[in-house]
Amino acid sequence: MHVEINQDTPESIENAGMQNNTDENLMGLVAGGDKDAFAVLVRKYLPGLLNFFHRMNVYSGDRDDLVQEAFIRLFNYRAKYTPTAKFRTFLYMIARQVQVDYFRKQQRRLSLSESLKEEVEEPGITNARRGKEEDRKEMVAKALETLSEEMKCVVVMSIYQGLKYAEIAKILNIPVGTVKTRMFHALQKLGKAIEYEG
Amino acid sequence: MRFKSLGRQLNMKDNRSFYVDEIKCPGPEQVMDFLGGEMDDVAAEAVKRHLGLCSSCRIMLNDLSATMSELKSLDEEHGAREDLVEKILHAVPDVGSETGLVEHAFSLQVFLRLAAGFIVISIMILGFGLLRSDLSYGPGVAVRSESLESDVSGKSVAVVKTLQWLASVQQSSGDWDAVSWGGKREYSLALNGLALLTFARSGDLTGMNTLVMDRSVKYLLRCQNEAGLFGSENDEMMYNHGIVSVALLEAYAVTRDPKLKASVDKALTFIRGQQLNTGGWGYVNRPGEIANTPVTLWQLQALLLSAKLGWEDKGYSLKRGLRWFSSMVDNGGQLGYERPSHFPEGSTTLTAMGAFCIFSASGVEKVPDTGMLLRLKQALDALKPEDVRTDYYGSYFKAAALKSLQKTGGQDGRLADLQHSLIAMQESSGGNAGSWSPNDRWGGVGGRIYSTAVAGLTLGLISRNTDTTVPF
Repeated sequence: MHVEINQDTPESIENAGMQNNTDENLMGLVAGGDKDAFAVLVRKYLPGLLNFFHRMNVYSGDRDDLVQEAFIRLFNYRAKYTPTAKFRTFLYMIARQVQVDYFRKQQRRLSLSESLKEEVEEPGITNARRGKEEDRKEMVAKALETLSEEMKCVVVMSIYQGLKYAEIAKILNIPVGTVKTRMFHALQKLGKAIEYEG
Repeated sequence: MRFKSLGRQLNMKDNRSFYVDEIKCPGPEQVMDFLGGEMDDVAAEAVKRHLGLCSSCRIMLNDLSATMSELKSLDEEHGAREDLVEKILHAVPDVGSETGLVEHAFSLQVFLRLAAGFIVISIMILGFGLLRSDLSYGPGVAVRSESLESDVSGKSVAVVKTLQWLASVQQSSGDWDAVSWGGKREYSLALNGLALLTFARSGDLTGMNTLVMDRSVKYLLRCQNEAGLFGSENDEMMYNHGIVSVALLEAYAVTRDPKLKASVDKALTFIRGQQLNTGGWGYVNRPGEIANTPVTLWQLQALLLSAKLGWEDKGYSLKRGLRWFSSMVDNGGQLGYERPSHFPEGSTTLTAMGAFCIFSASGVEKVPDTGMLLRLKQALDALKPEDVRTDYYGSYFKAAALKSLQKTGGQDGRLADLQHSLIAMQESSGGNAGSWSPNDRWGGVGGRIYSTAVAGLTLGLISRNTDTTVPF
């Protein structure tokens, strides 16, 4: 009789394992203190979180700190994570809380809006130097600014983070129907705010 | 060019009663499901049919869709930020500096519970004189007065630490390199089986534990040959095969993975094929081979577990095996190694193996001789605490036998004694925190994977209060 054992090297298995692992599995490893698995998750979700904080009007100089804070909280809460919950939902719940805490603690939303306006307007570059596409983007960005915090959060999570409505509902702790209704009205409002040229 | 807006000005509330060709205009939620691609095909087809007939809805959906596209055009790629990744990884605590996952997550309330538990148990230990230096597991054991047996959400902290240590030394390929931890190469698969068993019986299949189990199962399945045998064909094969089969059956009991079932099927067929004419199992099924109690025990455990999980007892293999086992009991209720009253390495562990196996078979197979059950019980009753605290392997079966005897309520004092002893010997610091030193009579064969897995299994079964699908 003969034993057939897979001859994959430990390294190749480990690499393939990390790549093939679901986020939930990786988070399971993180729960056991595995920093390599944590690094994989950080690299995967860091751009998305930067984008999230950007779209939620976090001042550009603070975004890195908020991303860092979100991942540190993720690591500290790792024991509370259960594999039955979708990892992405868990992460964005944390990120949303970090963002809420940020605005609440610093109470700088108004000044932030002013900073962002400055960023968008980019003093020194005249409108004449911009193409039509930039103008349109600016218009859309400004329109997004007009949304309420509640509506903007739903739009940002759906459009820019690619989260499903059910996930957004879980993150914001609201009914999924409310998410869809907010999204619907937000799009209607944005449509009105955006002026298009023929 | 974008449609200006009939649709945008529609009031959806009013519009809900608007029908075109008996299809209702979709409400905001349906619209968003449709645009977000979260609608099933049948409903989406209905909406499309409706759009073909209702210009208002068509324009509205076009406008909303165009707005979504405009928003998406703002999307910016945030590229790799290795500097930030490094900063984050630096900011999280090092694994090595942690005292353990469970402790990390402790709330103040749990801490207070632990502290209270610690005080109570310390008083018990001092009061009952359980702080001993004459434990039977080996020389030079530093006995700690600290107790770790307080439960956190029903989990034994000592068992959690056991699992953490085992997880930390599992290879990425899913196996435990038993040799590098002091075990003999020929028993490597059996030791892997024991480690997997510790996880499968832990009752805690969350996060890390599930992953460890999954990796281990995959590794063991890779070690099964066409005939169903786990590992190589050698003199130790039935030890290896029996233990791995039990571990995989336990894993199947908690996962119900069909792939696992197929593998277990083959493993059980192999076990039946190796059964000797006498009904027992020896090291290899060859002419002149004599069955012995320890090898038979593991095969019977696999068959018993399979019967409890719904497998048929093909060829009455289980029945014949139990009959052989029963035939090993002598008039004093003790089991012999190859025949009644045959005790080449002492009698207590063999007796515990027999009692545990026969007791746990009740409900699956009828045990023919009730007088024999009484004799077994009397033999177990006669065990002194020091007889129970022998070596990790022996203690495990003694605990299992006493536990299966102890039907409801109360704690056998000998089990409590064993529990305290094991907890006191668990490594509390350093890289091996959570493990046990392989300092007993079998340590040279099994190494640290053996001592840790078996001690963890023993603590797990002592602290378990309720019956499970498994024999104990």
